[in-house]
Order: sequence, then C-alpha cells, then structure tokens
Amino acid sequence: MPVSKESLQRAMAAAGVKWGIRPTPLATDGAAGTGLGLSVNVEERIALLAEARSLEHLTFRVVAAPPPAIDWRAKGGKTYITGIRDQKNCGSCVAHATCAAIEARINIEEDKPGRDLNLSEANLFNCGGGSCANGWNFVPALNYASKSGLGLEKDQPYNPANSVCKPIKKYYKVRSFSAASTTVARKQALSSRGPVIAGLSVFEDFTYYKSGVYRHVAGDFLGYHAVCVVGYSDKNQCWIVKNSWGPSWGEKGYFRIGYGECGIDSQFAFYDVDPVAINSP
Amino acid sequence: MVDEVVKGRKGEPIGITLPGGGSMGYLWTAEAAGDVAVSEGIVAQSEGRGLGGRPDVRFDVTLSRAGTRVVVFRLKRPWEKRATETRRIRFEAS
Repeated sequence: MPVSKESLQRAMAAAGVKWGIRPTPLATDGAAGTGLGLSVNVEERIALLAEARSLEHLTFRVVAAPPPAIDWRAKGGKTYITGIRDQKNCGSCVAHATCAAIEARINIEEDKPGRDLNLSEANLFNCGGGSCANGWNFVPALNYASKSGLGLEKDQPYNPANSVCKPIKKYYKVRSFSAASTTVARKQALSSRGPVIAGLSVFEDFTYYKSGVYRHVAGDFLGYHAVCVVGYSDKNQCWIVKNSWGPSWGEKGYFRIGYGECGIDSQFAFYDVDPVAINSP
Repeated sequence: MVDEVVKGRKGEPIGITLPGGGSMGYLWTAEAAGDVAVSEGIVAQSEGRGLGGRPDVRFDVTLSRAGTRVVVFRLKRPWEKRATETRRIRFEAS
C-alpha cells in the first residue's frame, strides 16, 4: 500500500532528514505492506564493481583533488544538459541515462551549450536488446552504442513499448567507456569530463520526492533504476541527477541525492563515456 | 465489467500478482469496499532482469464474508492525475 504523508513525515523526522514531499494517496496510515522478499543478482554487481576497481587506475589517475562542486546545468553560466525526457511505463531507463550522458558529453566536446541534441532512446533500446519488462544493463547498452552507433530521436521517436529495430542513420558512436567506482574517481570523471551514467535502488518514498536532498526513509524496494549524474556538491553532500520521469517530477525532472544513498555510489559504478561524431546531424 | 475473476475462501487471503512499475515512478493503488482487506508486497525479482526491470507486485485480498467484491487497481504516478492502467478484478469468496 502507498505510504501516507504522516508516516513519511514521521520517518523523516526520526531519521533527522528533510526533503520536500508531494501529497500521498493516503490521508492517514494504511495497512502495513507485507514484504515478500527480493532476489537480486548480487554476485554480478560485485564482479562488475571489482572489475571497475581493477581498471580504474588506468583511466582515473588522480592528478589533483576534484573541485568541491560541479553542475553541468550551470557550468560558467551555461547548460550542457539536454531536455528532460519521460520513459513512461517501460523499463528503458538504461537507454535514457545513456543517451542523456552522451548528449551532454557531445555538447561539452563540441562546445555547444544550450543545444537540445536529442538522440533516439527507442533505437538504442529496441535494437540493442532492451526489454520494457526486464529492463537492461549498462555494458550491453554501451557496447551497442560503440559498435552500431546512435541515431536521432526524429528518426525513431520514443514510444514506451517494445518495438521493432528501425534501421536509421547513425550520427554518433561511443569511442570508449570506463567505469569509476571510488568516490574520488566518480567526482574526477564528473568534474573533468562531464555527466556520467549511474544506477540506484528505488524505494517507494522516492516517487513522492519533490525537492531538496533525498535520503531514503520509508517504503518498500521497487527496483533498480538508471540515471544520469550531472554534478555534485560537497557542501550539500549530494549528487545532482537527471531523471527520466518527465519535467513535472522532482526539481523540474532532476533530483539531489545524499552521498551514500540507495547504492548510487556503492552498488553501481559511474560509467564515463567518450562519444565521437561519425556523421553531421 | 471486470477484467478478471479470482476465487477463494472467505477469511483467507486471495492472491493476485500484477506487473510493477516502481522504477518508472508508477505505484499500484487498490480501491475496495470497507469489508475487504488488501495488503501488498513486492515479489522476488527474476534473475536476468536488469535496471528498469519490473518486479511483480502481489496483492493479498481478504473478504471477511462469503460473496463477491470488485477491487479496482490503478497504476499511477503520484505526481500525475491519470492512471496509466486500470484493472477491475472480481473476487469471489465461498
């Protein structure tokens, strides 16, 4: 059952955290939900993180401490982040996060702030092997983007459903990608090169988030979710993240999440992509 | 008009499983008469599912008396007005 506003507020007070919440469907406490268990592929995630750590020194040699804050939405007064998208009711978050990071990286590399470059999540998702019901994973998505490239939204618009792989013209490829797993390496990738792809655990209270620095306090685990991290703030002890739930959710489609929350900087690596143009849009 | 009929016994939970949408921001809500108890839980996520996969949501519906009750399930985002999916399920308890 959905959590009530009162129980969410009590949980936040007990945990000593504060972030803005939306009204919940229950005016008073409802019946407590019955957790029926969760099976996760922990071994696979540990292996991925171990692999990321073993490769990290090759790509993330730290030559200087990362700055205390970065926000690619307002870097030097300019935004390099493209518009907020909406995956709707399809588990295509990996494709959305991948396209979001690549769009921003291309804007940074080509020094085109403010441009709403719009890559086709549908083409990446449907051609690369994603499934609305089963979701997808970072490495297959990045391998597909490396091998086959990425087309434009206008050539295959997003539709929240499994659909055919449409052969469209490709404009960009991923030249290489690497994974950052330590906090310093994550910040180094973000501050020196740009937005990265990340994952986190979603709990029920996250769907009611409206503003502030989110910290999980209540509700069942709902699944794993891919997002694009666009910055961080040591002052506020948080990552700044672009979601794919539309512009009406959270802080105009973005959220801030505390360091260490929901596995965002522990369960999954940050994926650092290096895109290259292969055709001119 | 209902989408499905599920049968069981009065006073005992009658289970039904629906595809979740939590990692996309969607939550199921259940509307039922006052003498119907509904509880909810997340079903184990299948191996092989990746990020964005939809763990199923299980509802246990208990009718205190013999008879028929319709429960309306709506899959909706908390910040949006309209449900993306609605299922009307009739529970029959003997």
